[in-house]
Amino acid sequence: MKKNLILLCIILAVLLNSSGCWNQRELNTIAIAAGIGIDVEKSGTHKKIKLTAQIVRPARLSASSGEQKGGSSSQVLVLDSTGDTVFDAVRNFTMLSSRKLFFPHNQVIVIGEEAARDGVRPLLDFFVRDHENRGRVWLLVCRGKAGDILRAKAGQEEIPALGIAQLEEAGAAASRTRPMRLHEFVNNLLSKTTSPAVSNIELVKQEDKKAVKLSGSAFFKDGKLAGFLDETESRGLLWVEGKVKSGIIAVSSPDSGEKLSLEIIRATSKVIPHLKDGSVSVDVVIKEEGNLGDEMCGYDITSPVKLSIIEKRQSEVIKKEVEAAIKKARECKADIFGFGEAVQKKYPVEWKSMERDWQEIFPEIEIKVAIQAKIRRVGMTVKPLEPE
Amino acid sequence: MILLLVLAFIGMALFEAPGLVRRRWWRELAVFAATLGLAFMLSLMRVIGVDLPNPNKIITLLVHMFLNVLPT
Amino acid sequence: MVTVLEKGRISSLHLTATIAVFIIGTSVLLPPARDAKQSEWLAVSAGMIMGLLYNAMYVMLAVQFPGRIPIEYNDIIFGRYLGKAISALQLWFAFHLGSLVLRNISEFFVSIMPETPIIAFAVLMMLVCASAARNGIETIADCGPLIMLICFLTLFFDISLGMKDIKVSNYLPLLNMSLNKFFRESYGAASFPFAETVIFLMIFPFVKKREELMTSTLKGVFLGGAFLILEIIRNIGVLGQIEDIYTYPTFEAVRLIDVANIVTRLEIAISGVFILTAFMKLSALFYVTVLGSAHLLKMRSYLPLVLPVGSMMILLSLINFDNVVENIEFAARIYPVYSFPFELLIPMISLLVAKFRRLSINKLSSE
Repeated sequence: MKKNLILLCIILAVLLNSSGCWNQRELNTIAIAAGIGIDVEKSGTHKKIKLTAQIVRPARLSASSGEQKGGSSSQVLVLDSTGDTVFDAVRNFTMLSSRKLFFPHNQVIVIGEEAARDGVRPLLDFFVRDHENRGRVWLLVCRGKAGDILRAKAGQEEIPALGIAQLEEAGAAASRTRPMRLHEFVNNLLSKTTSPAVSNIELVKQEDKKAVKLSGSAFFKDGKLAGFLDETESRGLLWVEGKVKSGIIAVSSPDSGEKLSLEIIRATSKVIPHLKDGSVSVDVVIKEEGNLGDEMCGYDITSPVKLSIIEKRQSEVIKKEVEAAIKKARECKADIFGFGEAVQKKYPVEWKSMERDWQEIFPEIEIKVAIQAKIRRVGMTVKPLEPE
Repeated sequence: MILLLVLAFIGMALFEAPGLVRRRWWRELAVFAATLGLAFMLSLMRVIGVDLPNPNKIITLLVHMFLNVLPT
Repeated sequence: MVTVLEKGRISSLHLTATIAVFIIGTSVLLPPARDAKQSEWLAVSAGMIMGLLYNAMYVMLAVQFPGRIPIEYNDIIFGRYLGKAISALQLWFAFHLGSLVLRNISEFFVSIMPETPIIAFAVLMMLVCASAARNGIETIADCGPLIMLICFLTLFFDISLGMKDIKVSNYLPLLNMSLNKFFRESYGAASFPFAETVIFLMIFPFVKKREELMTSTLKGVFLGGAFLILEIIRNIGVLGQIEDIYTYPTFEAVRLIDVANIVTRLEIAISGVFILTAFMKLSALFYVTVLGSAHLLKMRSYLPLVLPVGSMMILLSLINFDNVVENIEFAARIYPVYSFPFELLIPMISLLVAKFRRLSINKLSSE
């Protein structure tokens, strides 16, 4: 009995003193980062990292969920901080935000053009190394300063960074930009030859307010921003990667030249490298299925022959997009498609001699693009809205 | 810290020793006292900042010696 | 006789589960054969085959001396003095390995909660294991099937939810390395974790059905190996080249699981598996250390050793490495060589001597 009592006292003493966590963080002591922008500030030879953090204000969010207060007060707080390294800049936020940044809910990382041109490897190391960050965060590049992007409105969301994240996900509907998550990007950065592409975001004016818009993609070479792809080239890249999920292909009708649009339902691709007498060639086979979405030309497609003409034209449009991307890639000597990796996987032994000169080999390789485009359905009507 | 350490080891001694004394297991009590004393000395040395020899360093040294003898 | 020290008996099922969980413990946290890159799973599979051979040898040795632990028959095989020295070395191996396991799991916690001192985790983990060891082998082995069930359920969900992120091209090119390197990597995988089951030589005597010893041991090694290989295959498929960079690839791979923004942040589940399996491995190693030491010191009970040895294990785990880099270097380069005498040399010599000189239990009891 006495022994039990002593034991109880000890247990109570230990429990009361050691309850909770050492690293406990309550909601009112953390600043939840929704988006991070990275810029560099240069003064002479001195380079500083400037981070812009979009911080969620939980209290404001719950208060205004019922009545909108005319948009006068924002649900997020946007702060800037500078430092010699990324982590230094992160910690310097504590000087002005009274709460420590908390990353697990971070949605996007936006890298400013200037910072991206200097190389992203050093900037991203923190986001891969630190335990609070997640690999699924979206990575984007913007023309101009990343700080301006995070201060603008995005989509319908109350938290702009969340809006950007959803733009990335919805971007799949148009397939005109290359959405990229951090882990996938870092994976490509580790390749010696691939030049990964990420979405490009820019500022536009809408309803007299600054808003953001995804426009095309930006690609990297050796970890440095090397150029931009426009929307056609971006889709060309997506075709080769087999990442086209949806989107519209506008085809001109054979008789009038007016347009009709085909909705992409599914698309797959295969990249098959060949090695013959020391020269590399790559076969790209793209299979696509589409439905007729609308026509503005009064073209009657009820006969199989007429439909196959449209199918052929559809293939041509796809081919043009792919070729535009290939042209751009060749011009910049940037292997945005990851053909180098494909060759390495198929010919690991021969690859060793090619790896170093791949940048020179890549623009010269023969790329054969074969497209098999189908039209499966024509919608709820079979004939155009025209009197016969 | 030292106080905490002393308390922990006194706690351990109180937990184990009375039972051993009651059963007159002197041999076990001797082993217990010796090992506990050794553990306490080593912990105390670490707490007050004495550099304890690291067995891994010794193992590493041995392995390197062994590998150097081998003709690879 | 060791029966004085331990009266518990375990069934074949418990042995299988305990061995499987023992193998999963910490090896799923820090997968072996990392240098083999995309062929890691092949190297680990080859390592598992070696491990099965090793374990068959351990069982053959145990069958020669039924109901006895190595501390007892070392004296007969190697003579009184050399035998004692070898027993002490084997106990050191278990003790040191225990401190490494304790260090690895505490280090994992600290990497998530960097401001907490490592000793807080080490003490808590050790307290649980000390309690398990005090309760004897039956209690430890009883946890085996339950933990194994949790492990495999987690594995099933992790892999099925992560399936959509797997890229088959990440596995290519297969075996892009010299045979020498492949062998080295698979030997590394055999030494950690498959042949660490050498410490089960001190647990085999408590298994009820001796005739099932071989099948249940090999089944356990196979189950643990299958778990590890499946996790590694998933890691490579999901992570690709970054698999190399991360300290804890399994953790990072599970972190990426995201089903419609709802089923996400599952790393807590896999962390649970890390803790449970590390608990099992640590308890088994700790139990073996105190049991063997008690026998070596001719004690009537191993219980008095639990607390002192436990505190020394915590201490050793703290001074083992100054930093993570030393830890990685030790695991990759030193450990495979260091473990060689304990995992292969001593058991093999024991088995050969016992076979050729027809030493067995009779000789033991006549002495």
